[in-house]
Amino acid sequence: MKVRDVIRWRMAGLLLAVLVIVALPYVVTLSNTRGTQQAVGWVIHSNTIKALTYQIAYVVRDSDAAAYRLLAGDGNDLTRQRAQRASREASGLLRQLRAMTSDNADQQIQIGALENNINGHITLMNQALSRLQQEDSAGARQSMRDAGDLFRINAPITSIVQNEDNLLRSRQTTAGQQSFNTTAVLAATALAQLVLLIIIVIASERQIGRRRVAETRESRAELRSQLILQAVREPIALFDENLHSLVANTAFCELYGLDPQSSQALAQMGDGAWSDSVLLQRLTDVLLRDRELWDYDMIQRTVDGIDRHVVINARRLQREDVSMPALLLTVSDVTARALVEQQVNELNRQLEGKVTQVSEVNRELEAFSYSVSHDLRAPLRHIAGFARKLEQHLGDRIDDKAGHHIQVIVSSAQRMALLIDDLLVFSRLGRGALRLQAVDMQSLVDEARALSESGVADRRIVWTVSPLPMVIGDENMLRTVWQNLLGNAVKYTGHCEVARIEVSTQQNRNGDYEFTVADNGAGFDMQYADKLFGVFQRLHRPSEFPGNGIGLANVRRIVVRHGGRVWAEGELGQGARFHFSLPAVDMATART
Amino acid sequence: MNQRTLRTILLAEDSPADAEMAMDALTDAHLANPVVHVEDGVDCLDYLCSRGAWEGRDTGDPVVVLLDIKMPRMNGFEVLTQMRADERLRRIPVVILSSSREESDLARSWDLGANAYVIKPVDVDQFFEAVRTLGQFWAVLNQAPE
Repeated sequence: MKVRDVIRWRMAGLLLAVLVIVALPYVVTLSNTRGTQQAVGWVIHSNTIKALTYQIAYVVRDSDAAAYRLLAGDGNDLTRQRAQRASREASGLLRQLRAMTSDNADQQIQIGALENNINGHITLMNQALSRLQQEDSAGARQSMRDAGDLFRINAPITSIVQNEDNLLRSRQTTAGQQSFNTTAVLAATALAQLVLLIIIVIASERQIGRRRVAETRESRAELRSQLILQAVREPIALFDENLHSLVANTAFCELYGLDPQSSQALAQMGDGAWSDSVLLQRLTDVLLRDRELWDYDMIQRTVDGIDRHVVINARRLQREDVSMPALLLTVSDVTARALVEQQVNELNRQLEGKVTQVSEVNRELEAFSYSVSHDLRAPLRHIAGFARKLEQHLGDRIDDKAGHHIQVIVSSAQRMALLIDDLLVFSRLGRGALRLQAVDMQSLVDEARALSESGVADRRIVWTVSPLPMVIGDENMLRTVWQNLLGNAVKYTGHCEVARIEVSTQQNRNGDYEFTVADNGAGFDMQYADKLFGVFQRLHRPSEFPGNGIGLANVRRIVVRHGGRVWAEGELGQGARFHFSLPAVDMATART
Repeated sequence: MNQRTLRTILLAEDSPADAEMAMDALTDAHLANPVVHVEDGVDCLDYLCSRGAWEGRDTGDPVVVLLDIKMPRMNGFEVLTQMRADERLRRIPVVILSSSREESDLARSWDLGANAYVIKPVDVDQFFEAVRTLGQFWAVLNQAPE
C-alpha cells in the first residue's frame, strides 16, 4: 500500500516536471515572438510615418522650386503643374499622416502645426502664382518670400521626425528589455531541464541498479533453496493437482526410481510403492480439501527391493503462478529407527529380567549376611568360651602343650570372628545405597591421618598434604578409603627411620579428581599388583605386617561404587603410590 | 529393698551354649538375684505375664530382661514390641544381647524401645566382662519406678 503511494506520487511529480519543461519554453518563446513582431511593426510604422513626412516636405519644396522657376520666367506647363502639386497632394498626404498617428496626441499637435504652416504656405504660393499671371512679378516674389518666411515647414517636419525617432527608441528599449527577460527565462528553463534530466537519469540508474540487486538476490535464494532441496537426505517432492510430479529431490528420485527431468503420476511411481488407495485418498483430500497428513505410517517396497518403514507427511502449497494448489510430500525412512526401537525394547526387557535377578540375588545376599551376623559368630564364641572353660576346669592339671592347644583354638576362633566381621563390612559396602553429599576431602584426610598416627607416636613421619577439594560422595565410605590408604602408608613405612607420606591431588581434563597417596615404605612387587585389591589377598606375611587383606578390597569397592577407579604403583623396598579417581559430578544431579 | 534384690534376671536365649556362658558370667558377678532362663520369645512373654508354664509364679517383674534377637517361634523384636505395647510390662528394662553388629538390628531395637543393645563378643573374657557388667548395672545400680 505504501509502495504504491510512493509510486503514485513519483508519477505525479514526473508529469509536473515534464509539463514545466515542455510548456514553459513554449509560452515564453511565443510571447517573445509576439514582442519581436510588434517591435518590427513599430519600426516599419515609424519609418512609414517618417517617409510620409519627408514626402510632404518634398512635395511642398518641389512646388516651391517650381514656383521660383516660374518666377524666373523659366517655366512651361509642366513646371506650372509641379507648382500646383502641393495644393493638390498635400492635404491628402496630411490626412494619411494624421490617420497613422491617430494614437499619438503629441504628433497630432505637431501635425496640426505642420498642416497650418503648409496651408499658409500653399495659400501664399497660390497668391504668388496668381500675381505672376497678373504680371505682378514683384508682388509674386514678395508672396513667395512671405511664404518662406511666415510659414516655415522645416521646423515642424523635424519635430515630427524627431518625435517619431524618440518614440521608436523608447519602444525599442522596452522591446529590448522584454527580449532580455525572455532570454533569462529561457536560460533558467534550459537549466531546469538539464537538472531534471540529470535527476531522472540518476533515479532511473538507481532504480535499475536496485532491481538488478534484487534480481541477483532472488536468483541466489532460488539457487540456494534448490541446493538445500537436493541436499536433504529425506525424500521431498512437489506434485500438481493431478498428483503428477513437479519437482523431486535426489533422495526422492533415487528411492522411487523417478527421472528428475520428467513428470510422472504418483500412483505409478516406484513399482506400486504408492498404490495404497487409502494414502492416495488422503493425499487427494490434502490437495482438494486442504486437509493435513501427519506422520502417516506405512511399509513401502522401494525400487531397491527393500521393505521400508516410512512416515509420510503432506501439506497443501499455493503455487504463485497457477491457481491450482500443489502438494508437498515428505517421506521419512524410519526403518533403522524402528529396528533400533525394537532392539531397545528387547534390551529393556532383558535388562528388567536382569534387574529382577539382581534384586533377587541381593535379597539372598541380605538374608545370607543377616544369617552370618547372627548365627556364624555364635559357634565361634562357644568354641572360644568352652575352650577357656576347659582350661579353667583342668586348672593345675593342664600342661604346657594342652595350654598352647587351647590358646590356638581360642585365637583361631577370634581370628575367624574378625574375618567374618570384615566380610560383613565388605558385603555391606557393596549393598547399601550411597548417601551422596558434599564431602571435604581435606578434613577426611586430616581425620584419617590423626587416627593412623595415634598408635605410633614414637615414629618419625613427615607428611606432605596438598590442599584437597570438596567432592560429591558418601562421606562415611570416603572416610574408610582414606583411613585404609593412610593406615597402610603408616603401617608399611614401619621399618623406615623417617617415613615420608605424601597426599596430593590433580584434576584432569574431564574434571575428574585423581588422588594419590605415596610413601617410601616397603612397597610391593608390580608383578602381583593385580592381587592388591582382592579380598583377603596379601603381599606381605602377617609376621612382617599384620592385617587380613580386606582394606584395599574395601577401598576398591567404594571407589568403583563412586564411579571411579583405583590403581597402584610400587617397587619392593622403594615405597608405593596408590591412586584413585572420582568422576566429576554435577552438584545439582548429586543432590537428588 | 529386700524384696527388690529377690527380683529375677530374665535371660531369653535359645542357644544352650550361650545361655550356659551367660549364666556362668552372671554367677561370676556374685549377684543375689536369681536368673531365670527361657528359650524363646513365647516362653519369655509367658513368664512375664505369668501364664502357661509360668502360671502362678510368685516372683515379681524381672529387674531386667536380657533378650536375644534370633529365637525360634517368636523373635526378640516381637517380644519387645508386645512388651512396650503392654501397660504392665512397658517399664521393664530390656537389654538386647545379640551377635549381630548390623546397623539395621541396632536401629530397630532402639526404635522399639530397648534400653540397651550389647553385642556378644567372641572373646570369652570380653563376653564375661560384658554380661557381668550388665548384671551389676541393672540389678544393683539402676533405679526403676516401683
